[in-house]
Amino acid sequence: MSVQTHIQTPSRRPAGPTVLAAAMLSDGVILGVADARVECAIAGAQVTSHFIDLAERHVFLVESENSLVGAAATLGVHRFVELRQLLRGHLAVLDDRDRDAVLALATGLFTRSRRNQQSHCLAESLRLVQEALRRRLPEACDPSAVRGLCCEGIAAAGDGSFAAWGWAFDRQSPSVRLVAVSPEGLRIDATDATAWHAHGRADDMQTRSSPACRRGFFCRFDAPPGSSFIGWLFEMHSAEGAALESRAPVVLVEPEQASLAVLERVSVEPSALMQAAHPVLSAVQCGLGDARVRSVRTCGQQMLHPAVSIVVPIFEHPELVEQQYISFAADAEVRELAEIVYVLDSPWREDDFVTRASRWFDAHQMPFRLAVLERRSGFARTCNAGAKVATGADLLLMHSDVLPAGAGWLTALHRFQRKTIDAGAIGARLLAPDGAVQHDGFTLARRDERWAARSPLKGVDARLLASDVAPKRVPAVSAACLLVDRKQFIDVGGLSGQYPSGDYEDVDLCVRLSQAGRTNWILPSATLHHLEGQSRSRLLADVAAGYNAWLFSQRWGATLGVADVAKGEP
Amino acid sequence: MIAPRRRVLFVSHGHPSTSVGGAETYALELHQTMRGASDGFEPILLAHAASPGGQPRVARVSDGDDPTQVLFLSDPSAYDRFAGRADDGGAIADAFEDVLRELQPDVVHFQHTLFLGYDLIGVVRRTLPDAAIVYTLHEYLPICHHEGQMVRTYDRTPCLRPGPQDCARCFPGISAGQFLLRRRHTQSQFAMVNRFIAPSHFLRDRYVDWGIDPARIIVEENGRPSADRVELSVPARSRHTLGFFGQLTPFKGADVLLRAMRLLTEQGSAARLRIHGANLERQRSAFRREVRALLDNTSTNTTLHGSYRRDELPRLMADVDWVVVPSIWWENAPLVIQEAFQHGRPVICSDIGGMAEKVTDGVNGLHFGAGDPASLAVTITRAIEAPALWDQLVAGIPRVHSMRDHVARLEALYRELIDARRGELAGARCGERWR
Repeated sequence: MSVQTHIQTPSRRPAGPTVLAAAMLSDGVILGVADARVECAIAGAQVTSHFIDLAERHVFLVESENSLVGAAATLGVHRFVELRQLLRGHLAVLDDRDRDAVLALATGLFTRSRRNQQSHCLAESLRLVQEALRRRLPEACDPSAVRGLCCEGIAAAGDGSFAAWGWAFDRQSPSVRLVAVSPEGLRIDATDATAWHAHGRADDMQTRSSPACRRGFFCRFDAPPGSSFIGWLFEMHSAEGAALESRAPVVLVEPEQASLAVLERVSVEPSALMQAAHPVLSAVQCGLGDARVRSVRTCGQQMLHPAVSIVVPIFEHPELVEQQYISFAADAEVRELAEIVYVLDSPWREDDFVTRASRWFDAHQMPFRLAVLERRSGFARTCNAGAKVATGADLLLMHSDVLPAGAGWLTALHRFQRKTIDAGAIGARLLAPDGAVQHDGFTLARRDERWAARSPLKGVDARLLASDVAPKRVPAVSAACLLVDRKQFIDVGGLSGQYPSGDYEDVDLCVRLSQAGRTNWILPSATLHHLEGQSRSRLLADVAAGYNAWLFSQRWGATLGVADVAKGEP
Repeated sequence: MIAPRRRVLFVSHGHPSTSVGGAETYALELHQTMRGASDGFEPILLAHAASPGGQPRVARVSDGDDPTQVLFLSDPSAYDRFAGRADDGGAIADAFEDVLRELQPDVVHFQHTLFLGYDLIGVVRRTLPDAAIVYTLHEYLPICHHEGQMVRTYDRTPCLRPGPQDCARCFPGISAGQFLLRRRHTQSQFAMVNRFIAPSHFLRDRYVDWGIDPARIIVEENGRPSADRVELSVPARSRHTLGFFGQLTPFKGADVLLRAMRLLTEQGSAARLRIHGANLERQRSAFRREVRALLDNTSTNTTLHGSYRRDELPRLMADVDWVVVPSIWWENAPLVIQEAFQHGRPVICSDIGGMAEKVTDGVNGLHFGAGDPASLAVTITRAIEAPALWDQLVAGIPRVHSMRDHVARLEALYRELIDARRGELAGARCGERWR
């Protein structure tokens, strides 16, 4: 057997050999079997032919960029057969080595050109070829066996990189290789980019006690961008030659799902996995880009040059928004000073929101604007989009589950911002429904080389602090209610989109404001209720908390080493 | 020239033709009295009735010949009792808005918004900007999710000033945040009411504690259609027969009374008890068993007579000397106290809330420690063993507030509010929506 590749320039028509069967892999690629070596050349067209010469037959693969019919005619192909038929009738019968050669030829197509990577049709054909011709390895996912392999999840980061995780062990071999096989047949050795950890899922306690036998893996690898999301395989090869395979589930593509799954995996053993997962999570977040606003509408008479733009991102619970809207409408200061900007993160809920909000407007006559994003973008990006739509001198970020506890809060925040020359972020004292303090500024504390934001007064009955009303300098304040000069907010880059829905976007912003020479404050005289956690899903936030703290430390650890910053002094 | 009659729309959560209850009955009686007596106001009664699965719409009262009584049908299962509004995409609100546009009332007087939703207040405000809105508070539903009883779920003790965290303790499945929102939502609708009517000072105080502006809530007792004293011809006898009138629910304290009777049995007391009450079979099984057992234990001095019709009341009252109101919840302005007084019967009641307010201890009745059978037993013993006491207390019974007086007071209020409303409205107008 010999494999040869010819790139032919246009020449005369060949004659002689008979094509036994040929099928289209995509609209420019023909795979076939002939009784002798065929040649293909068309005047004026770039044609690439590949051959595998076997004992009694010759496999050919012809790529013609724009003349499939011409190519077929030159080859003497009058009728294409179904790809499955070709595979079953002519190629599956080959021995292992010959099948490997055909597979390599087909897979090569995918790696060679960008155009091929963009063809879904080709990717699907290659998956069929791969399924029909590949060598099958045994599967083993019994924890009590000698060796086992199970790929539990796989996610795409959006930039061509993938993360996969599961468990793999071989009691007879201390080291194994892990190979990811793409649906198109591409083999990617992921061994070097694999983090190993004890497979400590809560539901299999007995394996937890013997982590050495059954080990969790989390690996990261790159694949061509056009790779399919269905049909990934994982292989494990031991030094002794034993091999297993495991089918991966469908690749998670949607950013929130991908982040959630990776973060859940990280939470199994954060110390071992954080570093490995970071590039993936980072790529997922970067892949989201800036939030794009699909439309901006105004209900009622828009205020010209408002002092404050109250930006409320909306994720869930429209009834919360209603309650807050009614509070705003009843507040003379809000009516006088502020425009309300709602930013809807879920575009498919626009109609529902407009219907509801129209009723609120009819009843209370408080104008507002509504910006709808093109797609779900997460908390930070949604706020940033709102800041750009806003027109006020000051920007007040507000969760929809924050409700004013009385009058005077907005003027207090706005005046303080205007009279404090170096003011950065100004926060309010937030109370839980039971009257306990929920937020009164963050402090930053370091433990084990890790920085974390803390809420020192959280849980204290607010009446205890009744006399404590002077503005106080703090390192950071919560974005649940945060007032900042709008231009300044945009200048320092707004909220960072690097945190997958957690609680560090605001702290990160405040650190950047500090570094720009600004001071952050809590104004206890502005008191509001915060029904924490009702405005958005807690699931992602909970699993993200550890990663966000880690990421925050990575980004700012060195800077925050200066003790003053942690105390709120620039 | 005679001024055109102004129109009052009464909104009630039920009509006596389909549901019996104190507030429904009162609303109908008020409507009928105003219709017969007033030449200043024309009342229309819009009463909710259940129509499972149906779209909200109005209908005639099935056996009625009064065109001013209208049923408002809607599916009660769409009503969210916690939030206090229907989760129906605004269908009830839309249908109600149609009614308002059609009838153009000058005053909308809510007797209740159960099954309809507090948001109907906002519908009135935006549909009829110059209409006056009045809301009568019959119990504590806006304050308390526990059937408006202000009794704690876990130990059945009365609760005076519940905050969101107290409510969350009563309902472990609901967070304090949700209770805070519930209150905020209700209050935001209540903010559009021009005047609240509290039938008792005690109830008014609860709502002022809860957040209603004291200037917007007045005390006005419910009127009785016939307020005249019913003279019962009863031969002179020893006054040792007690009567209990009302539903046999845990809140009404029938079990407290029966325990007291058991203590009195053991002491060989002459006290006798007649229970005129129904719906024991609708109560939870534990309570049912308990009451049954107590009835067995007290069979020598207690008889259960079941439910009764309104017109039987004089005869039943004639057979008792004292009326006992042993509720463990605050009550508001219990109808049974008005009825007892109307029939010249002094009342023995719990020393809390609306009961303690309406019955003056030692003047027209006797108080005992709420929820305490021993205290009740001592009080009963005192009542039946001092014969002069009964006559003294009967002499202290006040005249019952008549529905005619009540209507006159309400109409004066309506006039005041309509005039005030006109003043407020100068300059207010509706803005344009989307652009």
